[in-house]
Amino acid sequence: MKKRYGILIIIFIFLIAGLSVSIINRFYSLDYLYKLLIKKEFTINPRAAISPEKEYLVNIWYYPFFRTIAAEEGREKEFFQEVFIDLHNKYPNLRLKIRKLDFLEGHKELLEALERGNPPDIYLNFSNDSLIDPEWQIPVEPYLTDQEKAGFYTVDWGKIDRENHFWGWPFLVYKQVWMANGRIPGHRGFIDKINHLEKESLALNYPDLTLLLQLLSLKGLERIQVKDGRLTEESYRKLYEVFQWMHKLRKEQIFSLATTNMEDYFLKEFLENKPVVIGPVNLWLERFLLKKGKGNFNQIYLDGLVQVYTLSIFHQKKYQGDDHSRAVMEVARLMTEKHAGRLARELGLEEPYIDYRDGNNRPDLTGVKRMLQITPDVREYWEEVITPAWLDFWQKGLTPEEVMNKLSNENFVE
Amino acid sequence: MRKERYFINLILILLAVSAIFPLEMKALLPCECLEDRILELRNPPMEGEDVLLLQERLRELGFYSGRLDEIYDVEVARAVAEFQTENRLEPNGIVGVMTWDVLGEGILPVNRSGKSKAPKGELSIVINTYKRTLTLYADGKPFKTYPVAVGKPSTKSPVGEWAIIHKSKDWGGGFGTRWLGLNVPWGIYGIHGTNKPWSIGRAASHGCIRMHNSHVEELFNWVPLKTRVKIIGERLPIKVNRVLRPGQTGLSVMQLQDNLLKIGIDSGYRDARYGPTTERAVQELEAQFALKIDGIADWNVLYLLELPGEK
Repeated sequence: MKKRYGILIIIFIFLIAGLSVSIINRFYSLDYLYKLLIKKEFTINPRAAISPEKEYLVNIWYYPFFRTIAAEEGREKEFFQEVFIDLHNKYPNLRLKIRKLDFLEGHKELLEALERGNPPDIYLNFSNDSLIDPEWQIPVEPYLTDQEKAGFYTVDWGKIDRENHFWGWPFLVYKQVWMANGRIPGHRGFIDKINHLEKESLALNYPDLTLLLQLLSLKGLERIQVKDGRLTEESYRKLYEVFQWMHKLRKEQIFSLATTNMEDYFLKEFLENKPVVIGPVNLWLERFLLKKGKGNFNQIYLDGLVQVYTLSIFHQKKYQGDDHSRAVMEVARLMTEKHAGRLARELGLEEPYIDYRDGNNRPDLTGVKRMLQITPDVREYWEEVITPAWLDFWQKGLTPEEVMNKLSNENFVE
Repeated sequence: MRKERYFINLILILLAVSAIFPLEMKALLPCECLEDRILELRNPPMEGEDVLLLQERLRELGFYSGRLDEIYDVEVARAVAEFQTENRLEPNGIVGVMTWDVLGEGILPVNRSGKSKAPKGELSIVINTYKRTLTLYADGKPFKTYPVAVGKPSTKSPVGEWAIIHKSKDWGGGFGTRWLGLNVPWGIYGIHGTNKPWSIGRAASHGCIRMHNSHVEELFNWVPLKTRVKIIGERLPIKVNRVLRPGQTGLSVMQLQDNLLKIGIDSGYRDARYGPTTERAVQELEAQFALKIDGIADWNVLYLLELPGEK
């Protein structure tokens, strides 16, 4: 009899515990509680709700992304106006404050604001790196439902866990391209196409470091890793392979210009109709060339490589509360899931989110691969060691061995 | 032998100096409008815009009924002599400073707003070559508008954003009583008075802005050096087929500034000077297109701004 009561009591305790967890989980995420109670660190409760009684002001920083694409000035403002109208219907107590950055100083301004602990709530991040600053940035995945997660096709959800967050809402997806103004070899993969180019038919804008990221990604590197101030074996090997590849093209005289100042003339050659392939081509250059070429220029896709522009979400030193963070996320959700599609079409990009609930078919995503990102832990090494070595390779005509020796001998102190 | 070498060297030096000096002299001449020339009966007859102005004025005053053909012929000389007799000048048929001045008498300046109190705040000037007006702004608000004469179609006024860098008085003659010099890099242009007030309201000058003497005197008293002067008007686009660098000036730089503005990048004043603001604007374009950021308008930049001509 006692034994039976004992079992019933245990079952009862389990039921109560389960029910409690379920109730608590409706208001606080377990991750939030873990960080708050066990790790005792700053954390944000993603279950916090927007208060209808309160006014929220969401600060957004953006770049003039329509410049040179749309004929009329201020198309970006129109876009935000459309977002605001939609937002106002659902949350009349949310307001937007937008600020236009310029391409030259915009990112620096953001870094300075982060230094002061006063970044915007949303930053339209046109770099490929979604994680800028883990101290002030808010991860996005706790705010997503499972259905929503499935819609973000550029994210490898298997790799997102408690320690490895999903930073930033994918906002626009740019399929990586180079451009050709003449015939290109009909080989299957991008690397093969480039390897079969004729003499003097390639010009690279190597100061654009996207090029190095593209080449490393094509060689299969997923993450640059540095340990004790040196590249890990895989990162070293892949970098070496890239230098060897470029050196081979150089030796075979595939480049159409002297590699020391190729970047100053690559566009002139291309537009003056010397048959040449150029790369990398960013979204504005691609639009410019497509318009200029009137159908005579061809895009060469870098297999399925994509660059993902994100909405980075930040909180400020003077924390405005979990409900404010929630409000910011709702603005980003609306921008991403409802308005990014039209914007992507106007900019000639891909939309980042597919809502399968709307009966959309899953597109063929075979080969879609996000380009290598530079994470904050290796950013300094990238800027101070790898970048100068890369430029030296081109400008001083170093061999792959000389560059790699230089890298190995670099005493980098983190 | 030695003497001969010295002589040859001397000739070479003289040739070099004579090659440079006319240009320098031209650059030092105040205003591209040039000073009035003396008109008289010659064989072959004198021709030009100034003869036309004279014919028009004489016709207005009832002394001339011939053709407006820009030719100083016997009929014009006779009309001039009649005018001179009527106005107690020596009836010699020669049009010099004195005759021009008397021809202009009796033209009352048009005072559009009637305001004569000095404006307060930051002053700027906008010259509209389509409407042929000069408007003085105080703190961004129009304060007073004057009629002006602007450059002829063949010698247009320099469209752009300039500053007053020189002020002087009483040059007389074709420049009237006051001179406000502008910092146009490819010539000497300014706002000045005139002894041909009937030309006001027309495209009649060699590029300078002509005002009634009383108007330019009023303006002269109000506007300080460095006052911004914006000239609005038509300027034919030019092609640029050379790399442009900071420090350069000229029409090519102006075109670069125009094309930057056209795509939405502000390069500051459109003053044909490749200064720090233009350099920064070029860097902004380079950053957007992921080019090497050096602020030089190299071939990549020129092509992106659609500046080079067809090859």
